[in-house]
Amino acid sequence: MADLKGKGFDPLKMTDAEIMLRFREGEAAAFRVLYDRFVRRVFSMAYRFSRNYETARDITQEVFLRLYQKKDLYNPEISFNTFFYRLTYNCILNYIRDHRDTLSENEPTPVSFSSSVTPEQTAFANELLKNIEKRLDELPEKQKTAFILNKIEGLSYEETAQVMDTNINTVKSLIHRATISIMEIKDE
Amino acid sequence: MNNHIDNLLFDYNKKESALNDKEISLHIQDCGRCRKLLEDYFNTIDVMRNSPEIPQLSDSECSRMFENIISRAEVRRRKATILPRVIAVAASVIIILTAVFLYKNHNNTLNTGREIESHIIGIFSPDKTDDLEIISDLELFSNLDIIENLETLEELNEVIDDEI
Repeated sequence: MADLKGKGFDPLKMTDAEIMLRFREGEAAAFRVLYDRFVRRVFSMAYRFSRNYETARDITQEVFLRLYQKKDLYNPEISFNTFFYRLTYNCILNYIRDHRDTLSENEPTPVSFSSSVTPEQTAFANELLKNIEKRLDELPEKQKTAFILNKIEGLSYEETAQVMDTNINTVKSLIHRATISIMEIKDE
Repeated sequence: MNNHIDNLLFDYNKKESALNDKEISLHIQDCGRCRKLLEDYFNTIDVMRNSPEIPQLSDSECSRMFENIISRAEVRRRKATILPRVIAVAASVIIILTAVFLYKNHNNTLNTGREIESHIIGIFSPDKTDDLEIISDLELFSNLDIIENLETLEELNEVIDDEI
């Protein structure tokens, strides 16, 4: 990182969009910075759709591979979140479409909690989480995507709408319906 | 669903922001149901954001994936550079082969024309060799600049008539 700072490239002080611009201009180190910032978020999003570790890892690699290859398509007038999550969303959709048959056969990875939690607490938390995640999985694809992008990934309504190629009112409606469904399971 | 503040509440992704909303803060003072909903809603989102249901990538796994991405990107880049060159070479070869084929085909057409010509002559004359010689002579005579007077031409015609 010290070398990068020496070149006038200090990622800690830069926004995602600024780093993406540096990468587009040919600064190879900027790609690593973006990767480190987003790899776990992309992986968790891919996992929520695939429920399989290997698949989520494959999708994550594909997302960054495309980011590497399509860097010239980045337009700084559009928010980086919109650009990046649209890329991620498209990769996930493509993967799901191409592997629809095998995805349903995937075994979910078992959950593990810290050792300080009692078995009863673990069982209760496990059950609660499974219910929430199950309800999320049961949502229609668009509701699920809108909910994940807005509530979990923290994108604004406008960014979510742009990623999903729809309008803000539709996104609000999708998120509202998804939230009601998920909250209902918690009331049970 | 109820007529409380659900719609308003669900617009927020952070509890602090929701509590800063005057309408929400006033409403939950008197409404136990919405107060509980607010707690449940933000707990649920918080749990989902940090869900242990989602496996975590280790640092070493992240590094391995990064190396894999870079090597795959390099392979694709090479393919992307090599492919146009291969196409260009293939196109050049096709153009050359096509040109050669057309040239040969053109010569064949000329030869075929001559064969037809000979065949037509053969219909009118049983001795093809002699006829061809006469035709050659005629061509030669017709091109001679020395044929300047009619007498010479007539003599020549007589010779030809005799031969025919």
